Amino acid sequence: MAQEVPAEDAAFLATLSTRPREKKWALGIIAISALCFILAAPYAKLPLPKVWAFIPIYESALVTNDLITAALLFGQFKILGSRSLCVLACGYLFTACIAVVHALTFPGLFAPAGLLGAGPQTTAWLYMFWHGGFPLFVIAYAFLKSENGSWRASDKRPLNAAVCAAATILLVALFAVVASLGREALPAIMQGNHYTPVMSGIVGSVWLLSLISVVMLYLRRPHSVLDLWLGVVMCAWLFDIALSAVLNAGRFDLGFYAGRIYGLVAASGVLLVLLLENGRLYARLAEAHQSEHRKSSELAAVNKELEAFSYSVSHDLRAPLRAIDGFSKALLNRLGPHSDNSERHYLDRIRTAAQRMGALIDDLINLSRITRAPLRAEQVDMTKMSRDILAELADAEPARKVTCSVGEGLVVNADPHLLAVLLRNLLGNAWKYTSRNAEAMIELGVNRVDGTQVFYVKDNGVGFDMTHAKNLFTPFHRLHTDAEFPGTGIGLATVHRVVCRHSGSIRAEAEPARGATFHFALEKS
Amino acid sequence: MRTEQIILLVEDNDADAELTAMAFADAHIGNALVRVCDGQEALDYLFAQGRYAHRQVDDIPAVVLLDLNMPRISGIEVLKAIRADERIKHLPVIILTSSNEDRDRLAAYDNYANSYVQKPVDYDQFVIASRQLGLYWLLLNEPPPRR
Repeated sequence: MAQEVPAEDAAFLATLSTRPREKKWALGIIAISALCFILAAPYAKLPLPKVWAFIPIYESALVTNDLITAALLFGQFKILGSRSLCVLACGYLFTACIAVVHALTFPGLFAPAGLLGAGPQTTAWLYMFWHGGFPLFVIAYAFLKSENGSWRASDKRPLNAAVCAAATILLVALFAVVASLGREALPAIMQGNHYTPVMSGIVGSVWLLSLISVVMLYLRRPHSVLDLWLGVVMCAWLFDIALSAVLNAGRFDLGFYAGRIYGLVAASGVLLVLLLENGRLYARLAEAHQSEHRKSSELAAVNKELEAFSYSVSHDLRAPLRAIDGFSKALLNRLGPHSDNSERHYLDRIRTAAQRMGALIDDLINLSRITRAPLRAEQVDMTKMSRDILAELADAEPARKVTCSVGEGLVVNADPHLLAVLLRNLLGNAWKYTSRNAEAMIELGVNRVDGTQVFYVKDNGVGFDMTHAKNLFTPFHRLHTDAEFPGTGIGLATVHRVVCRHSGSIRAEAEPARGATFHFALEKS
Repeated sequence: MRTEQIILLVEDNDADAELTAMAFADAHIGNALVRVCDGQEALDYLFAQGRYAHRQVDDIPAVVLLDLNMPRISGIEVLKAIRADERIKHLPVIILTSSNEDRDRLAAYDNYANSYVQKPVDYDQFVIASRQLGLYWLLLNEPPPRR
């Protein structure tokens, strides 16, 4: 039987699907109960000594168990919000309350005729309400339970647990009033401690309700662990009624006692499974927590290692480069005026390569820094920041003529340091790739797309072919040779990472010889 | 020019030490450059102990060029020891290192380094940096009065 239980709900008894082993256990318990029932049935009418203490002891055990079960089920209802769970919890609350009333009205127990204005029929009728009522709750539970095992989806209107509990208690009170004050209107089912013929019809219908509840539980698939054990409980309930109200002759015979033992088993069944399952789930939670903890400490260790690595790269890899560059320079100085030109050329090559590797290392370090640095977003005046960067670029190359246009009043919520890195790269690229234009133009502006600010940096430079742009934002991927335009191929990767850290997005638009435009957003669209 | 005052270079890497000496020479800094190979030797020199026991503690260098990453005793430990000692706590210490990590810079300034300079890969830049350091710390800057 395939069933899809959402992973987040799978940890609850009401949503856990049954395992084959549990099914075997449940069937075994039902079989043993049935066997005991068959053995006890012929002797159901055998009169046994009247042990008055048996009734209060038995019923207080019942009340305690049912109340705890109800509390646990209300607890699961609170978490899962499933209406069927609320109904079942009310069912248990119902049995607990009505058992109290039943004990109080039992004739000869607390008062000769029973408390609460009870008559000779009151207790027996309360028993019928009790044993007919609970199966109704179980039927409602099975009916409300969703088909596919997904609980929240099917529950349109949530129930209020307190209101339901109050209604349940009110219902019990109503039954108590009917059974005590309205006893004259009800047909007589007891004569002394023995049953009247009317009894069989009424108890038959009560028994039938229990049977229907078992069938309903069976039909409403898939079965959760709770369904399975509730089924076992209802079977015990069937034996209880059969022994203590159908096959026996009256109070204090073998059927009366044996049926009540079944009743106690029934009351404890769900509670026991709930507690066992809770224990198991708790153990699993502790285990999961531990493995989570282990994973996070592993992650921290890996991060630390990574940091140490990048530190080592920044520090230790630069030293040999410095030596290569410096001593090449020393050699160059020592080359006399008569030296071969190729000697100078080779030494220059060595120095250029060393310096380029130095630049690569610096860029890589900056890239990793952008990933590691904490994000501190604030309102940033992007117009001013962009103009400052463009002014710096112009200062560095005063001979160039570039028309720059930056939109007025551009404000963005971003980390100012990371935003500066992004703008320096995008504007720097625009500056660099328009270097062959006589009339270079760089534009920065904003478009609103579905309420999101999408900024753009546009230039009229050399552009590129979009077919090669697949890996534009991966480190070291370049679309131009170093001879054409110098660069390390890390700039756009850095830009991409800045955008990612702000949960934004970036895309490029370009055409060879017609410039490039980069659109980016620094928020989720 | 206080040419009698020496520059103490604390550098574990031989190539870097030679480069620094070369850069200072190319920058026409005439002061003698004494090189010690690690933090321990730097402390021995400054506190006139071990193989430098013959020195006078109050014969202090004009400036210390201090590398950070060194075996045994790190640059920061050396800096702490200098600042903790009454006799030499005013000694100008320039951190001269490959690292430009925030935490290194912070550790340096937290322990009252006078200056923090990252060694450039490009030798020409290094010469320029050396010249500026020499001009500033040996000529322009007035040291604390001798006690």
